[in-house]
Amino acid sequence: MAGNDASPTLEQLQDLLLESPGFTDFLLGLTTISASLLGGPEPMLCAITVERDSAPATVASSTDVARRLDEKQYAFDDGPCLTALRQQRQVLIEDLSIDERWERYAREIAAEGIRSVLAVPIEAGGSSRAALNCYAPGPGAFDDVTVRAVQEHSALVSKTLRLALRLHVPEPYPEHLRLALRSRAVVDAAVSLVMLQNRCGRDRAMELLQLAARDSNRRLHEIATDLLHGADRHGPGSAPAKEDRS
Amino acid sequence: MTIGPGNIGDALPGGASEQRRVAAEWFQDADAGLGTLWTYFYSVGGDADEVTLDAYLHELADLPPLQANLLAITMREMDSEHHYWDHGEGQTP
Repeated sequence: MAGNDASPTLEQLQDLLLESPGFTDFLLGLTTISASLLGGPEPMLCAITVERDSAPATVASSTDVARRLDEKQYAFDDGPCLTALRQQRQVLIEDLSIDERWERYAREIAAEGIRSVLAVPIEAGGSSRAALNCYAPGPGAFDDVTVRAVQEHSALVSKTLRLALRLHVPEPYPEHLRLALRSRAVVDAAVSLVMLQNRCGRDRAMELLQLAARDSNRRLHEIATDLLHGADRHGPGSAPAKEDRS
Repeated sequence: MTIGPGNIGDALPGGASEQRRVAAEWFQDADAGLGTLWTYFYSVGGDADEVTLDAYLHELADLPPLQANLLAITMREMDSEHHYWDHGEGQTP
């Protein structure tokens, strides 16, 4: 199978970078572009694996089958793509059914009907490593022309991938936990401010905030935010700061 | 605890046990899981561990009045922005 001549223009890759809200989305887009460009008369399945620092790998796959083919390798920590990723060298399997080196992997994925595997490292820079993995149903699917096309493609997407890695710094915590943490920090700061303004204890300050929320029927977080910004000093939000202790 | 004028306890004619019963009822009817509730409670300044919160919601333990009131506020706020935490995993303000 010969690779499609068309290669993604840099502009196409740039658009993908700009339009992807997160790294995973970017990688998924890149995988889809790769699969559609590299696939010839026979369909080619693509997956891209990226390991950054010591963080677990991100895998994006053009199809569910490609995803399973990749995940199987992680299950027993060995496989052609993991080798390409970790040793940064190309692995080409002409026919998985007679290849002795990958016997175990072949057994694991027998049900997927894949005979040809090609895994090519992608230069990711820094402490990151990446590989482009291609799978095809027939044996000997990756001839010289196709291998060269995949290599060229890997070289081409390398720059964009490196930009994406810099742009999308991994978030240590999921979104909802970060929001909770941010909100908590605002409330804590507001409590400290009320303590300072009233020379009162922490519990009393918290109580004053709660009273303000109840009286104004607003959310505690909003009141805390207003207090910190010095807004609403004479409105309901200022009640905690001004209230006399009785 | 002493409840003087201006204390939030004034707003609770039913007293602490009634407040706890209402909270337990809310939790039973709500779609929110304990984790979601605790995270929201935490985000507005709550200071009680998840196990204690769980026991309180099953009327097996008490919370300090300030924390019980804060939990009531948490529930009220979650009610008013149901669409947030319903879809996300415990969205917070």
